[in-house]
Amino acid sequence: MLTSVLLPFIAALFIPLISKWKEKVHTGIFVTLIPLAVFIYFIQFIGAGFEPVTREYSWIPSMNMNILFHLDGLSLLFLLLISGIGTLVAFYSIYYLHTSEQLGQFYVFFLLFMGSMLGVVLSDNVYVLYTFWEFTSLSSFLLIGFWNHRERSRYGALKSMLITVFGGLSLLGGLIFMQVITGTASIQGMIEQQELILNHEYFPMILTFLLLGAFTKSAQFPFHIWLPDAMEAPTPVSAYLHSATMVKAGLFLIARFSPMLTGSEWFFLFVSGFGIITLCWGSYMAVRQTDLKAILAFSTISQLGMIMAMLGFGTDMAIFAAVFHILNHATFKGSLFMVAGIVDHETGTRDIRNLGGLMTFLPITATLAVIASFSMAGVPLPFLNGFYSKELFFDASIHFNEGAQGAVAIMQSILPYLAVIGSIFTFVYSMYFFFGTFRGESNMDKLPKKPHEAPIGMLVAPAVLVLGVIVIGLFPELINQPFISHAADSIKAGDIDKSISFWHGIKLPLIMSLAVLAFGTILALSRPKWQGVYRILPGKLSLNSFYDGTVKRTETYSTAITNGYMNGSLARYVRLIIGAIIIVTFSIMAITGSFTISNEDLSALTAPEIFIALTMVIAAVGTIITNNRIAAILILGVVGYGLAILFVLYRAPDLALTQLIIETVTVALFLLAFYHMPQLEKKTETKRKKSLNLTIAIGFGALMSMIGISAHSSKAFDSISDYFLKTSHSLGGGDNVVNVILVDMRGLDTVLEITVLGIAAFAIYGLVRLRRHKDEEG
Amino acid sequence: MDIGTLLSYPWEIMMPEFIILIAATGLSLTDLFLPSRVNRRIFGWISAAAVLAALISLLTQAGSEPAQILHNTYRLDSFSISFKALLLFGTLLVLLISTSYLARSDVEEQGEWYYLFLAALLGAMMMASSADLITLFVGLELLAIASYILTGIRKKSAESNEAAMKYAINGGIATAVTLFGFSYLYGLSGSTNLGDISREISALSADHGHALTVAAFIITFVGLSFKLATVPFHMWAPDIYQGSPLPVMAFLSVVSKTAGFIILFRVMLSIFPTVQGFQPDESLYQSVMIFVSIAAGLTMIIGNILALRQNNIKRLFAYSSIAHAGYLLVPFVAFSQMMFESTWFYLLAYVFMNLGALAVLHIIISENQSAHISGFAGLYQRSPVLTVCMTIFLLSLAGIPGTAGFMGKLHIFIGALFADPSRYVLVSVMLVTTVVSYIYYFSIMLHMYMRPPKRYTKITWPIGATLTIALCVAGTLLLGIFPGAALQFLQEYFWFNDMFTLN
Repeated sequence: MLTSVLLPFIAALFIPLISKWKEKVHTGIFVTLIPLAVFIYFIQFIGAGFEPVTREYSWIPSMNMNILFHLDGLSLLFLLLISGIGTLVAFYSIYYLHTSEQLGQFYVFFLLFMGSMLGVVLSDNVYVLYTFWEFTSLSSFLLIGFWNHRERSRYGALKSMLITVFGGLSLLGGLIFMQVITGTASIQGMIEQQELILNHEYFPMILTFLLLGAFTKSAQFPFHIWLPDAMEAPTPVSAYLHSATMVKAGLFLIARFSPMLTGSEWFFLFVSGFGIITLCWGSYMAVRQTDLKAILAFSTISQLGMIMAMLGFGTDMAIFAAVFHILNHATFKGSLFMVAGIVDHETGTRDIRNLGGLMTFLPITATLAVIASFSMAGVPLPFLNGFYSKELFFDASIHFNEGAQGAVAIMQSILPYLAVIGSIFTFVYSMYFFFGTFRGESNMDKLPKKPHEAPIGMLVAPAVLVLGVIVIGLFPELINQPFISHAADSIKAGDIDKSISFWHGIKLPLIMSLAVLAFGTILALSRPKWQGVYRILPGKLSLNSFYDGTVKRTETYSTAITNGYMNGSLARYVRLIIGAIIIVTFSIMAITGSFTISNEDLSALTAPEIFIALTMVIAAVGTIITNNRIAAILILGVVGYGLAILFVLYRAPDLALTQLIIETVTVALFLLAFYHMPQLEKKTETKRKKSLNLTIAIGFGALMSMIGISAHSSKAFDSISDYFLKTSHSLGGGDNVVNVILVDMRGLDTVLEITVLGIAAFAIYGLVRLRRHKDEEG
Repeated sequence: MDIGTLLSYPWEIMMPEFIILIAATGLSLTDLFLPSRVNRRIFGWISAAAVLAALISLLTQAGSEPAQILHNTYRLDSFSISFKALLLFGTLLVLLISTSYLARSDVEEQGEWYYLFLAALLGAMMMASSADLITLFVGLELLAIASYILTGIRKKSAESNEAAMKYAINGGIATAVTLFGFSYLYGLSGSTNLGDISREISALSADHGHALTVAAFIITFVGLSFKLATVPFHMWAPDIYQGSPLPVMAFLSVVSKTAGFIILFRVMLSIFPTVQGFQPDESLYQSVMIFVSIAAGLTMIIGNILALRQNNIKRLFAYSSIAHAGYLLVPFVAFSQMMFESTWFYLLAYVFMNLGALAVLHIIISENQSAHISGFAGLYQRSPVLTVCMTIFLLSLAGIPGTAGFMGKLHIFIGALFADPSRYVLVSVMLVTTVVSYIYYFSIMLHMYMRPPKRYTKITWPIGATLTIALCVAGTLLLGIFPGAALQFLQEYFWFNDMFTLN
């Protein structure tokens, strides 16, 4: 089983080698074999007696992460879809992609995707699942951007990446939460402990995270906007990733966690609600489109919404219908995409306004298209599988569990109406797709190429899928017991046993179908008259402009912030840093009430002290105001000398002496240095900037003073001075305490300090000499 | 202290430091006496060999009991061994890139280049192994001053000079702030030994010590955030990274940042978790974490948003490194059981992915003679192998599964959500900013794969950078696919809680 997942990855390694001979043998031929092999391996599991299989491979035991594969009905359904449609798409691509394209690159990404997708549906370990999940987004990104010379391709690639990966990350958040709560990383293990999760206080958050992941991946409203842009990818990719497999990963996820979540009211409201909105919105939007692939993209969105809604219903019937429709949708939508690719390939355009009357030129393609699109529309004919699942959907939308109340009950009562409305539009665009392309007037002069029937090879893949539509339509029971019901069982425990038959008698679902048929025909025939309405709604308010706006705004902000404060100005950096320090420290100190001010044991002020302090303040301010550098340093000297006088007043003559010497030396050094420096330029700064500087300076000064005062006011220990006062005579033999401390008690410190200063002085002298030496030379 | 005590110390626990010290002095003396016409290229390989030797001797110490020498100023425990390994390994890779860089640059002082790197490394190692504010500070300054010179080593380049000037001034302010914070720690406890400080401050009664302890924490944190390049001390990084030579940028963004986290962890974790907080049932560490978490959130937001519009690839990586520092603060905030492991693992992943990416950057920049992002255009056509390597590094930086970066992020997520209280707001910020980061990482990929190249000349692979890229690709993938190996190694040989024992 591990081999089957690894096979595409290993094969991808060899593709660059094989693609060297692409001129002789198309690389796609080799690639087709790989999904085929996987398909053959997994098809053996089909049968009435199928039992789930679990395999474990050791990976990171220390983090409780093992590669755990769980193969049940649901994964089997997806595995067969992935490998089966993968085979067909790879085969189709042989004819679609010319050998002059970068085939190597294409098929590497293709295989990467396939392997990851197989991994997603097999993993039981949530982290393994997530890893593969992100890889599908990544390979989808690369495939959408395959024709990278187009601006639209790059735009679409990035858009799909951002949206799906955002969803992926929130999914990861949800998975981690669940692991934290249950203590296991296995999905089956989590389901066993569902009570723990459902009753947890974080449950709403977990559900939101999970649903975000699923909704973004499966293009549910309002995250659907990436899917139409993803249509820039080559058509085989659209058929494979963006209709049959990757976009269904979200459905898979919901289905996987259904056993755990179904009981929750929120689950029902959100999943059904968003699903049904997506159904209606997608089908309505599809009618407006003019590009064939855009019609199919919105149609995919709406069909995904329908399946999502059914998963939300959670009844036996709904689950069964959902699984059945996953299969049916893959058959008819896959073939329709391939038909659109053929039309594009043969006529050179996908614009439905220029197409028409192609039936005569492409008879086989048209036959395939008519079956597939009628199946999509749900036309009641016994050989169309789309009708069966639509019928089951209607049936499910009117049969809910009894006894619901409040919002749930309201929801249940409006669901059938929305289901019908959505289906009417589905009918309209299906008809539009077929009749617009293949019937009506042919206007050959508008086509870039003269159309003729596609090569046989290109028709094989859609033909096989259409054959699937018919076979399932004619003999639904063929796949029911051995296949579909196993998948349904693994979503909802207990035996879901449904028989599928064409004729149920005249009941409500049939009436709904007929209503759809009637209204749909009317709307489809009168389509041109409605054009105005289709064009007005939703207009400018679309979600696309919201996405574009957000991306653009983020970039504008980024530019604005970059210009605003990352302009390389050192002064500004310092201002910001100091501003941040002020704000943070002030707020934290204020919140915690950490500023303490006490005036105990402070001596009274005397007149000379006040006078000197004032002089110092004036001098300090003067330093800033003056424009002459030398004057500034001289005035600054006043501050220093004032401090020295204060020391004298506080009876510390030695300190005063030190201060005097240092002050003198500093001033002298400054003067010496300034002599060599250029003239101070007069700075012209705006008033605003000046006042900002002033505020920050005062703020920082105030902060430092407050901290200083607080430090002085909070006395955690006894003062150390008593010790020195007591022992200076006995230990140091001196009565001048400061002197004793300096030369005796901390004698070594003093010696070392002097040494350091001396060394520094030598170094400075050396630098100055070096400089002079160079000047003389030069 | 007499000679007997000196001799009685088990000096062999400082073996790695001695190797670096001897290599640095040896090289500086050789450089002095060697005639200037002799090429200094061999210095690069000698210093790389010395770093490798130190790394090996360090690894032999793994699993040993914690020990302290030199009056408890030097300390060897699991924390120091494991983080020193990161420093040594990061420097080794930087030296390898250097050999390629110097071969094509205008740097004249090639001898100085190498022993300055070794001196900076020595400073960082001392920081990892110290249990005393003084030695921590000396290590910090040794690292800082060597980095200032290295930043400005391209004497004739105005850009490089500007960077050095700004770095020295910003660094000076940061040092002043740090020392101011340290002085409060000392003032409150009367000791510079971390263990003593912790004991003394815990013994303070709340109404006395509280105010100043909080001030000490905040001011020290702000000062130390300079080395990490986190808010509010992040603005220097882009200017300085842009102006400095690429290997120096690599050193600053990886080794110096690691050293910053080391000193942050050592100081903050040794002291504050045991101090009584605002509420009776929490420690002061937890009480002030709201502030750190705001800083971490802002760092992630600012780093990622600003990176969006950068056209200069060095500036882009500067912002990206700011963002990564923000992620790395998350485990520090969460303070869970997994804190050390998450940080160590993420830093290891970061060493691989960032240095690998920078090695590629070096090749691209020297090929184009410009650091504009368009240099990546059409790289896939010119050199598919280099493109794939760069893709792996970018995916890892972006945190895509299968790479080391993802495992690192996952670890951080789990740790933060497991923590008590669960830090889900911070995790959400991290998730959203990670999505934002995809935009700029993938824009490089768009350039590489989806734009036509300007010219089709073959790309040359200088040996040092090639070795680095090979090692980093292997590391990024192995850690991404089998992270178990590294984690098991960590769990088997290191008991991080021994950081709090023995003093």
